[in-house]
Amino acid sequence: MPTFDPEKVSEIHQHLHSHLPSESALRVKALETVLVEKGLVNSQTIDAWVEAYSEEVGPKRGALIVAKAWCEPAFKAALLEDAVSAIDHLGYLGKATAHLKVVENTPLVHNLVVCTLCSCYPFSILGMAPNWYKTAAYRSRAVRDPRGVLTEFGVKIDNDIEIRVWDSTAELRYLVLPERPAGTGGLSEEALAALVSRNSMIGTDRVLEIKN
Amino acid sequence: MSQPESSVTPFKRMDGEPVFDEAWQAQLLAMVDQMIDDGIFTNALWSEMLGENLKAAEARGQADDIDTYYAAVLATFETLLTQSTEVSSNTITDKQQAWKRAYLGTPHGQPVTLKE
Repeated sequence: MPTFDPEKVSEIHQHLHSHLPSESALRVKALETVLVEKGLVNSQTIDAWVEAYSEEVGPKRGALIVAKAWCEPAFKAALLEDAVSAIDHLGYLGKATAHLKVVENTPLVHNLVVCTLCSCYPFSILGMAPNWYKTAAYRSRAVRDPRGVLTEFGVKIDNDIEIRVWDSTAELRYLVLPERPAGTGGLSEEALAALVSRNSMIGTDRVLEIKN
Repeated sequence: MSQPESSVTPFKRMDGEPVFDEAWQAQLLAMVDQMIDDGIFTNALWSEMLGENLKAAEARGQADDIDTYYAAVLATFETLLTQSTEVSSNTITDKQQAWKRAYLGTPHGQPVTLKE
């Protein structure tokens, strides 16, 4: 007599359907198919974007801008005055990151960037925003308790240092220019860029370390 | 030396996570960027509506994590798309069902394509 083992049936069912994408993945697939059919997007463009932002475009572009500012006073002055014009020729700015302001850390000022509304971020020069940047906890606490937030990142800011919090919007995004670490006089721009962490350009890192 | 799990704060723990858990999240953002670039909807409208959806998710007590974030991104994209173009939710749902049938009807290891 045949037996019915619900657990076994469930296992077989799961195995058969294990290659079925999640509902969200199917929804996005459907969206892409419909948009391609309507001529609103091109699959190759989407694939190229995904490849670029998954692998190539990371914080490296931002780090190169920071290193250049450390090495070239005229570039730094231009960057602080009008970031968009200063970096225009580097080819990093997409339409979605058209407006950018660079804010400089000094021995007495620390800058911290947040988007209290959603997740506005200069992704064409820093890559995709880290996951914590998108949380409600960061979006609300960065303004209310910046020192507490920084402590959770392992960054202790002395009380005599002023913390300035910058709230990003769709029209204006920010990049922190961290302080150049001492003892790096002989390093090339490329070697300096390698010292610049993503978080230091958002403001959740402050003192950059010289790597061996 | 790595820190013990208990001493790592949530922000610090999320710091090392990959920016995309799954490919569809990247594909979704790629489409959003494309629509903004092409002027189908503005960056300001996108940001405002995503903000509203994130706020609503928080008010509903949903987890403060990346799944909630991307669910809000997906909902925002669909709303703006159906408001700004001739694409309807029904069209998207029909296509989603078609993809589901295609996956279920395709043996393992073979490429999944839409028949219709």
